[in-house]
Amino acid sequence: MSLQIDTVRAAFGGLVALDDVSLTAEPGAVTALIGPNGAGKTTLFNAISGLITPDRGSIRLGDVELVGKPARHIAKLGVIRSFQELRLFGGVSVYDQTLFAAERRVATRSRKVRGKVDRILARLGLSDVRRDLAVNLSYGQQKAVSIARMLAMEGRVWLLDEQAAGLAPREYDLFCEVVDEARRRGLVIVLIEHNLQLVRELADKVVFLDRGRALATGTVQEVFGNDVVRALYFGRRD
Amino acid sequence: MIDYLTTVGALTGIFAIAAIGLNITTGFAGVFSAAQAVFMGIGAYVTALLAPEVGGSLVVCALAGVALAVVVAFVLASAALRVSEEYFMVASLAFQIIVSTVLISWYSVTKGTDGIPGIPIPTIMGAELSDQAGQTVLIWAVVAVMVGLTAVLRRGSVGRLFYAIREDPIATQTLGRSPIAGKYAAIMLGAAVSALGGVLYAFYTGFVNSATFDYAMSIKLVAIVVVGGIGLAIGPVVGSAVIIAVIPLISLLDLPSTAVGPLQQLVYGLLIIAVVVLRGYLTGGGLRALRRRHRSTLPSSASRIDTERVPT
Repeated sequence: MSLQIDTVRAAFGGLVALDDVSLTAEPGAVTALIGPNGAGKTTLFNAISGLITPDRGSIRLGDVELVGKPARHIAKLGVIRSFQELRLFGGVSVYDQTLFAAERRVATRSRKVRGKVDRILARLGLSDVRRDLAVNLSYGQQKAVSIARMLAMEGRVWLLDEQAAGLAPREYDLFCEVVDEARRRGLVIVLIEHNLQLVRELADKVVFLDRGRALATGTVQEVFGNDVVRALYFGRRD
Repeated sequence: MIDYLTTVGALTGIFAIAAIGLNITTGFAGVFSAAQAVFMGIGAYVTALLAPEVGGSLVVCALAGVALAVVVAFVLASAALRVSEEYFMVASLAFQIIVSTVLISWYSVTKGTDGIPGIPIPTIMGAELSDQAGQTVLIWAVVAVMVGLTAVLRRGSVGRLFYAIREDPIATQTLGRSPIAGKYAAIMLGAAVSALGGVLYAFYTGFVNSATFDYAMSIKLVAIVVVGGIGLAIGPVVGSAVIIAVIPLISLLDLPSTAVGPLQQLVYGLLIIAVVVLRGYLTGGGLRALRRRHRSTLPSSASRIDTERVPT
């Protein structure tokens, strides 16, 4: 089921962070949000994940309206996100926080869940540091933990906020593989990226945001070739 | 001397139990309560009032004391969790002062500062626990059970929820869980355990007084948890041993009586400062190491993307 965002507006005082943004993200596809800092990309993620309530507009997963639902309900519907600042549980072990994400509630029956957590940590190369506190990991490993929690949640929609930034080459390749696997499983994937090489490699669809407005939508070629995007984002007219 | 040591041992156990309650609320779930003495006081007063009616039944008094403490904790949580994180401590301190005032002023029930003497000897299934040594053994059995339970709690799904709330309530929500529900649970569970400490306190000393369960007692419980190692299952026992058993030994030194009190306060204060400074140093060291690693990853990533990275 697709994620449909329809004329969503969010203003903070006089600052209009989202100015009637509309877009659709399809299952089994990667939709990339690009645009300068302050364009409203993370604000859109906050609106989808329920951390802010838009002033108007609608955000639907299939037929289910997400606007107005608390963040934890939206997460339970399978809309899960990462944070630019990661928001890991620094004082909790890699294993425990992945297990926490895998548990739907207190007193989940654990053997199957633990097996799943073991597989996820192995896939992300975190098995050796499973007992380490997240705060003691390298930056790339911390980003992998953020992905591990998302895999453990088994969502239907992934919102990835600059998840590839700051990764070493091998970590970067692993990230691309994991996103590609999720796409093949039919997840709706929306990612915010400044790394346009990654957008070229992964995105099926690109949306260009600027000052709260979605100015261009289309394939990588269409959006990267768009005159407005070139002028505003690439800063060149060639 | 033996009696003195028995009493110190019993009180160390009692305060360890009360502090285990605070450790659940503050150490595990990160909800800073400055009202934990209230729950201990509820357990103690319920025991003082109920024990003569039920033949000193420890089980009945414990159940009643714990139940009332949980209800009061629910009321506190309902009111105080409406304010943001930082103000919960202030709200709980206000609650502590209100309850202290009620305990002093509601003379017909609490007998105010006169207190309620003559609490009967505790009985378990009809058998009287008349000697102090027996009661001390019982207290330490409860300590052992509570330490065991908190260790299990820490490792289980409830513990993970508490840790998640303590570390990052927003991330907890986006992982599909309710920080508020977890905070209620942590406050009520902590109150239940501290109330049990209060029940044992009333039976052991045979006397309760409104002055006992004031804010200074709440601060003492915080000190026990901090000194013992906040968030460790065994921490409150260690903290209680230091604060309740070791510091009073200063009075056995050959010092002028006017120096003993201030010296105890001084050691007490220095100890808390030492623990806070050391812990700050340790976590700060961890963060510095993290930042170093973070910086060291930047050059490789920057070179990877700089050809296409948009200047911002």
